[in-house]
Amino acid sequence: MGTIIGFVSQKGGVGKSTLSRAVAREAANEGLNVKIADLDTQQGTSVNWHRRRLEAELEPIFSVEPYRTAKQAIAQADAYDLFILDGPARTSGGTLDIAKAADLIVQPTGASLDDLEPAILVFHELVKAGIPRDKLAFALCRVGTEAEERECRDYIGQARYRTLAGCLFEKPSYRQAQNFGQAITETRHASLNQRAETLIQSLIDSI
Amino acid sequence: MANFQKLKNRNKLGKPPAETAAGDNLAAPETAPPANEPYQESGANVDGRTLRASGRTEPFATRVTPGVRKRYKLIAMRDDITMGELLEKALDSYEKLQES
Repeated sequence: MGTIIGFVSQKGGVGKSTLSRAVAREAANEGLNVKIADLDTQQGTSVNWHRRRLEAELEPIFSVEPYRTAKQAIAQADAYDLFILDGPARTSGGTLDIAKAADLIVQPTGASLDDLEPAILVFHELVKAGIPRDKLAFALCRVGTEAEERECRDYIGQARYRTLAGCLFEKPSYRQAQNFGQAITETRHASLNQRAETLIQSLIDSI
Repeated sequence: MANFQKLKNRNKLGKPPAETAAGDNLAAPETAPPANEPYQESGANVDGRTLRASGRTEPFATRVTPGVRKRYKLIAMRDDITMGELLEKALDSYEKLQES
């Protein structure tokens, strides 16, 4: 049985699809058989990005498929070395299904209280539902400064959750790369790629 | 000079929400109903099947004055019955009156 990583959040635009793609790209680059299950059929963010990637003929190639429910996606996970559940921007019974099946549940969050507070509450709910804390991790995305990053880590630490090492700073280059079907580890700037790789490595080390 | 470092280090974000503040979102259904599904008020859903189930399948059109029409509709609305039900009740009452 392969590994399942779930990206969940109550909010949109925090980095679920961004990180899903980067993890998939890096794993595929290492020769793993990877699939992203895009669980937001209304938006199909990762599916559309994958189409752009295929049109740009970028390597490595991996699979992205939309699924209506988490259970439908999870039923396919055994066929892959790494199965990534890119959740919708909403918390529901599907979130619990993702959390139960995943080896690691990552919740990306921005640095504002508007993002952090509901994010903490999502993990509180999962813990209340019996999901072990050590399966839960925050990933800091769209951070402005290093001071802001420190404050977020401290805030999350107070709620007794862990935050993955590294973070994604708010950079137009990340957006531009993804507009062309690239992952955030494939930008034109080595330093940005390195930052993204640090976060991805921390995520893999957490499994 | 007093050392204010402790106050400077205070996290501007404040305290995170307590575990007791967790909501009940995990109980929500995973998929929402389609946006194009027509809105139906419960109890007011009258379609062909409902009509067949009640046996009221025949059209019944006639000419009345605006006042009678208004009175008729207001009584049906006040008593929360359909216009067909009101007609049946009116007929029953009429026959009872004739018999008495």
